[in-house]
Amino acid sequence: MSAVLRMLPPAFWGLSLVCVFAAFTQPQFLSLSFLMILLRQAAPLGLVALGQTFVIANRSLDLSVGATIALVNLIVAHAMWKGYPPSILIFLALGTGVVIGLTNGVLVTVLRGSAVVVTLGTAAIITGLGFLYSGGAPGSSVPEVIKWLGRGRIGVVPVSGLVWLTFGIVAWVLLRRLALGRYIFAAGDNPSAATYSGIPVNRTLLVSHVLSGFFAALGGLVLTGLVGTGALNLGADYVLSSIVAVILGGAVFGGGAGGAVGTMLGTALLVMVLNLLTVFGVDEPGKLIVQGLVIAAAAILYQQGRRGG
Amino acid sequence: MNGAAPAQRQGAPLLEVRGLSKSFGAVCALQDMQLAGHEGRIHAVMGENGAGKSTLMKLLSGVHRPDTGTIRLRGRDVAFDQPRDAQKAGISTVFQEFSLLANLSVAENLFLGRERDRTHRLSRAEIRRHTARALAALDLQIDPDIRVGALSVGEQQMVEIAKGVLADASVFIFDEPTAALASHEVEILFALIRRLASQGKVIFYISHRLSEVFTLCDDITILKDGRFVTCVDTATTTVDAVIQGMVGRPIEELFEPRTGLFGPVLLRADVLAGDASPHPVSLELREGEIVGIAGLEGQGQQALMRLLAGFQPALAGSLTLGADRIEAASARARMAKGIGFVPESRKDDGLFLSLDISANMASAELARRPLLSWVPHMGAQIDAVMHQLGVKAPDAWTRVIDLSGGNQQKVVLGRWLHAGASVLLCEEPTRGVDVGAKREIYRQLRSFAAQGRSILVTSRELPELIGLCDRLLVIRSGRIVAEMAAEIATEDALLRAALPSFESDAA
Repeated sequence: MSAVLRMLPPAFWGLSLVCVFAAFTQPQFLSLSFLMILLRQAAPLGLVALGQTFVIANRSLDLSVGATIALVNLIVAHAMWKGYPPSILIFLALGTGVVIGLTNGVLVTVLRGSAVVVTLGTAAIITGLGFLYSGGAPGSSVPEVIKWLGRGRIGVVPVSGLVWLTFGIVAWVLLRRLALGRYIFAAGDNPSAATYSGIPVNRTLLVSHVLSGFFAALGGLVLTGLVGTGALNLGADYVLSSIVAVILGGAVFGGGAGGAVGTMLGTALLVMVLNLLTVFGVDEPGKLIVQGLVIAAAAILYQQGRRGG
Repeated sequence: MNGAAPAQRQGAPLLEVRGLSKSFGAVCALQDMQLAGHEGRIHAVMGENGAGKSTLMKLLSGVHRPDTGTIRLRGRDVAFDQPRDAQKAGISTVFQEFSLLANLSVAENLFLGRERDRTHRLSRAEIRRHTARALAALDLQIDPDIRVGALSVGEQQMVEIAKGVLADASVFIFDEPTAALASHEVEILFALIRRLASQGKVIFYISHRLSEVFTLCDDITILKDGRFVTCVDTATTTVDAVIQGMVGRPIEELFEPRTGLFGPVLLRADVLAGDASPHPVSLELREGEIVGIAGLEGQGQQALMRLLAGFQPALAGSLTLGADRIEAASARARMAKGIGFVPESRKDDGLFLSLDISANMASAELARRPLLSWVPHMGAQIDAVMHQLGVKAPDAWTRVIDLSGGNQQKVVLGRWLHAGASVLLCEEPTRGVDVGAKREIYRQLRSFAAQGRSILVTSRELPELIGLCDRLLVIRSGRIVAEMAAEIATEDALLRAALPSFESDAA
């Protein structure tokens, strides 16, 4: 039993604490209707963070998720697609994410670039392409299906929450039940030992980046549906938030840890805390500071752990 | 080998330990321990992993506090609450992991935390001067201004020792100091330790390597199962006697008997050559056979192993496994066909330290599966391999970072047992492993071979190669220059073949 307790990610304890705290100070937070609003808000970030989980567990990082969201938003909202079936648009959006992930993956594995620098670079390129494509004036013709993905409800449950849950299960299967997941954790913990075990380290890292690109695009779709229109720089803050969610979910910089369930709990915790901060009158700067502290603490923990090991 | 005759073991010891006991929870790590360090003598502390060496040293250096017993320093009882107290009392410990900061210079590192004198803040020039003096006292050619990160592991260790000298320590504790050193660095370290001894310091030296202990040390204290076994003068004891003290049985029993039963050739290299091993190599491994590669350090052993494993592409020649030609296959494809590779550096290249035993053992078997294949539960198979190898751990979910060196090595071997490898390419099978675990590993390798598989092994320890293998190849400058049956091989004969200067003598 204690072994099970120890395996729970930090986000589980954090979430429990925050819920208790909310129950005493802001009981309306725990009402079903408000929780569903939170779920709808958390879903896009949750999807992006799921993607980020693969790369972080693989000892990499994807800083281009924000730019991917923005590009997907601009593509989907562009007037030129009016009249096309939305399925093509969804396919195109997700395809864009895959291509971005593939690009990152190839640059990181074949050309051996640093993931931080490479994805920072592709982020800048994607942002530039987005401006070129939209001419600096984002469109507003978001198809109804996509709006339904972001805002719709089935009963009381938001559609976006169901999408998040579905892909959470997909991510969990990929990480915990397929060989791919074992490769990711092994290559994340020690790439050299993975190579000497016969694990295809490069292919694994490539797939991790592709998955991150795909999930970022999916998150971008859902977020665009929620916002309902094209917007410049949509999702810029998701880079930071997605990393924070993954870290809260029990991942460490340097790879080999974390998971889909942890990341989902981490996302929930983060969204909960950010909303509580809003209620208590803490603005954007305060929220950024809180998230920054989480990342700094994670980086310090990683270094300490490395020294201890 | 010592330049000057060592100080005699007379008079009262500078450091004396009596009746020391320490328990961690229910585990009694040390019981009624005794130890005496005399000025000017180098004192080895030997024992298997888990015998209590590290606990003893951690008690001396203030990391842990003893439950009972006394530590007397210069005739007075001392008690250390924290490492700093031990340092102040003049006990300097050089652990395997250094406490240096890579980004700072040597001088900055040495004076970290003591930039102030009793009266004033030391100037840069003063710090430099003190550093230069401390380095000179050790006869070290290290620039005080160089960044520590730019130094080799050996030089960093020297700086660590200089730190102790600067603190005016009278007792130096070395915990497996040569584990990460190249052979020429070992020589420098030994000279340095002898120099410290000649200045009247007390040296405690923890090592698994018998040859080192016998070249360097004056006294040997042997521990077993947390208890004191004996303390002997190196001059009056033998390697066999020391091993017997540690394991409780004679050395011959370390190795399993050879079977002498070989099947057909399993792996055959025919004038195989690669980038890092340009000289074509031909060799054969038969079913049931353990073949050793002997040679001086850096004669191409590593390159040969990696060429056979497929981490270096083959440029010429052929490699046959059973009936398959595999010289063109990637390392991953070769492993899928039954080649297993145990790299020399367990921590850097072998293990997933923060993952559990299960993930570590399953990795090679999993690597044969397609990326998107479903992974079945393998708990039972992993438990069976753990049981077979005698891995000492609560369960398969234990992280390997928490295991001893011997158990970690068993996990790496278990990986290939689990994967069902038929040929094992094994570098340094017992590096940093205690004698008890060595015996267990030898036994496992022999039983692996006895099942109709074969093993190619490299080792720096000639007695290990002779005892473990059926047949030995000697490698020199990337060429296999001699071959002999292990039964008739001697260290002398192997060295003769391995050393270039002996070639003309032999001819």
